[in-house]
Amino acid sequence: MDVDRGLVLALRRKEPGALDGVYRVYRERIWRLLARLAWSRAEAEDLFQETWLAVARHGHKLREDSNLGVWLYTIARNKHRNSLRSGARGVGRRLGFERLPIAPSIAPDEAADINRELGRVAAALARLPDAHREVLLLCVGERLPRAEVARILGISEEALRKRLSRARAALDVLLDSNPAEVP
Amino acid sequence: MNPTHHRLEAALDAWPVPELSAELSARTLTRTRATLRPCSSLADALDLDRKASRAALARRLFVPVVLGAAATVLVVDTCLKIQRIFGA
Repeated sequence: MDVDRGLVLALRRKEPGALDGVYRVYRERIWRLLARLAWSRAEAEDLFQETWLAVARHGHKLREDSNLGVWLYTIARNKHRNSLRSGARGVGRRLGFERLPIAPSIAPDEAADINRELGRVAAALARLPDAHREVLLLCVGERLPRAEVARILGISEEALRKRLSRARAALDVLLDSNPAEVP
Repeated sequence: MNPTHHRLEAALDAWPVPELSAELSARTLTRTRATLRPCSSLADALDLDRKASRAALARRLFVPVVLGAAATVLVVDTCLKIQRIFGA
């Protein structure tokens, strides 16, 4: 039995430690997605906690054949979408880009080049509509299979293909227009 | 592969995501474990944060209590009026 299936069964049976097991396996991936979607640490932290609370509340409702990863990413993505819709968050969104230091093993000149390129890509991503940004982060950032991304976004694979293509084209235009870096 | 896709992939690979802090992890696990525990109090049942449970509980109870009291006064007042009309 693979790890995810075992975790789904444990969640369904409300086994003690089931949630900790899921958390251990998926916390970094969910955090990475939310940090990139939310663009600010404080907002990402709120969404992260809400996501895991939802997992705790609804884990027992999973079907035996549920795809755990798809379910978790769907919750995280929906929490982010809901926060955008409610307007409760988002003030100052996209201003919180955290320019963290590149690994010390990289030479300073190279690090400066990487930071410049990161700044350009981050600025372009920040200017994309949310639907485009999330599809790029799921397909390219998380490297999830297209079928899974389509399920997470609640669209057909054909619709995903079109959305991904439009997102890439929009990003291309923004990168070519040499936008200013995110402050 | 599409050059933009490749460029984005390289940037996202190099993009330093803020670290998931141990404090956030501990806080998240504490809250989720509390959700899984059987309800031992009204605050738990209403899924209120323990620290702020009294204030939050008061806020949540305020509207139903006030509305309930107003409805009771209205019903009693109506009954008294009916009683007066029929001279009972």
